[in-house]
Amino acid sequence: MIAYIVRRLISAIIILIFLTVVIFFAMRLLPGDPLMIYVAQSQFSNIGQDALQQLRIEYGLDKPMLVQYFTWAGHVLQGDLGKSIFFNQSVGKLIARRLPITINIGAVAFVVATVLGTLTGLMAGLRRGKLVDQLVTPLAYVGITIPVFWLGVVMVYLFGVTLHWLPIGGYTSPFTNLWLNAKQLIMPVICECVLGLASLSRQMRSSVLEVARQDYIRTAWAKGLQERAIVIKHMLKNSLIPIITLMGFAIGGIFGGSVLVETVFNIPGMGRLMVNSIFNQDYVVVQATTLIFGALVLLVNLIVDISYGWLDPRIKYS
Amino acid sequence: MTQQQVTTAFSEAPVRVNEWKRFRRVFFARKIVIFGLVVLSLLVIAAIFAPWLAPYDPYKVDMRNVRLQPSAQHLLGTDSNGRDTLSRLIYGSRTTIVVGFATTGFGALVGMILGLLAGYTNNKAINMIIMRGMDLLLSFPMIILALFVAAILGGGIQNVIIALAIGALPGYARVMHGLTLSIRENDYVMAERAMGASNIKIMFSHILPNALPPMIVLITMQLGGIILAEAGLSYLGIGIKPPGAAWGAMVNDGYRFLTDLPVLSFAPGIAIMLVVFAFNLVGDGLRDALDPRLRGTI
Repeated sequence: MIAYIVRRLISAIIILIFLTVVIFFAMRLLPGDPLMIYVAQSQFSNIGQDALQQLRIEYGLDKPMLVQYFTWAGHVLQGDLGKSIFFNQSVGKLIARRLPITINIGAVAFVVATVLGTLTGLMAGLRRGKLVDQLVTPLAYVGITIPVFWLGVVMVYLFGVTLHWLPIGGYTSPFTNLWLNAKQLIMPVICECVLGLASLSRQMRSSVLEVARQDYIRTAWAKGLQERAIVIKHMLKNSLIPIITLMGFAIGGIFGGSVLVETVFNIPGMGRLMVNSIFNQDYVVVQATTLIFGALVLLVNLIVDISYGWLDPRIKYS
Repeated sequence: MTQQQVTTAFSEAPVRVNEWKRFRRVFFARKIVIFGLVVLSLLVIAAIFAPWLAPYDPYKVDMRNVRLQPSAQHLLGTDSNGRDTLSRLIYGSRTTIVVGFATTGFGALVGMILGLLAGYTNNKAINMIIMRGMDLLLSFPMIILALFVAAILGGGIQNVIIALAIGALPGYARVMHGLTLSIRENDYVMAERAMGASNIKIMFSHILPNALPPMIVLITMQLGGIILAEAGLSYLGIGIKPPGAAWGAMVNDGYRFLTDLPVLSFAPGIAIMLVVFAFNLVGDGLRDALDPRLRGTI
């Protein structure tokens, strides 16, 4: 098991290094000198050649590309993600304020998607063709079809504007006001979890149907076990194996969805920071948010891979 | 058994299964697939004949008729610039079609070639570079990758196509890689090689055609996801420039007037959903008809 974890860890680190290389050099593909973009946007737009050269040296832009990369990567490793031109603040600070918000919503959405997705899929699979199945299967189909941002808009209209049940946006920390936080979280969480929930439910259903056909399940029935024992002891763990892979994708979907959902509900999180920075041409922030999102997805996938090996011992030896 | 029965039994035995007939039978077995086909046909018709179908000019600003409620003149009302929502919806289908098909075409072509190369080559380094690169892309949520690419390339419809195509690449490449690995083991490939066929010939005239049916299924299924991603990007304001019409952007434009005129946001959203739904249905139908191995897996 330890060898398996180490192997996964090494490959995750390699992908992370790849990621930084791609992001760094992609940013250098931007038309024009990064310095010119900076200068054009800051207060000293009519700057002399000497001062420009001064800045170039100060930011290390006179050095070869590879040296620049290692300098940048070194700073990133120390938590220094650069300075935002638009906010005139360190990007690390900007992100430190916003990341907890995105993680708060994302974590709740992830738990809801996993628990409800697995449960509904399990029920639909066990009662194939019955009422539960007839309800869950079409709903799951709608779930993978609906545009999340539009779902948000419809819910705002229904529960916010018309019924006045829920606040139409914003974010309050749970430590300040737990009740308001919960109310504000309901709609964004539904939006972020819907895609993951629906795909997990669909996968779980077909996975249960697959497992139910296996010989060991027939044996379990034949020796007269109760349905509950069969489901919990024999079916659940085996049906969960393909689900775990999909959970990694679900987390990607949740982070991706956060870009849209935070815009719809006006939530000051990472997703909205990224979108706004694109419009502000605040490239340092775009670079940093992309990197953080990528690293987070990698981290979750690493955890998924490790639990995969724990759940299915066949994997770690292959 | 009478003579008659015996003859029938024997004469029926070697009848060849008509593949096309079988395809039609399975494909149309579920009535809802026909619904999907109808929606897609309407989409294509709307996109091609937009100038004739649209009751008004979708770009013409008319400040005297701003934010009208739906009526006989304007079936879906007008937006904050007095433009007819139905006309903009019809023109928006062009954006959906162009981005959807161009992205898929571009992404599938490059992805399939990469997957084919990685699967066919015996060179471990090439395989590793391609497939690890695909893993890297796959680790990104598609919309964040597309945002990052759009941030570098700038807005505009062609850059959205490139951004989404890069996001769609790994799916095609990975499936093609797997298919190539299994197809290349077939005897007919070995026979071709024994007869001295070049690698290029084996790859493109033997492996590729045999991988096409499952790839067509994947391409159809992915179209729905790509259209969703395009709608998301255009909702955020990345993509077609105003006054051009895109459904995602229309949802966003209408959001400000949600209280008085929800139809502005609702109508384009329903259009997006219907189209994505239709692509998924047709994809499912194609999967059942073309690829028996995948049946019932997802």
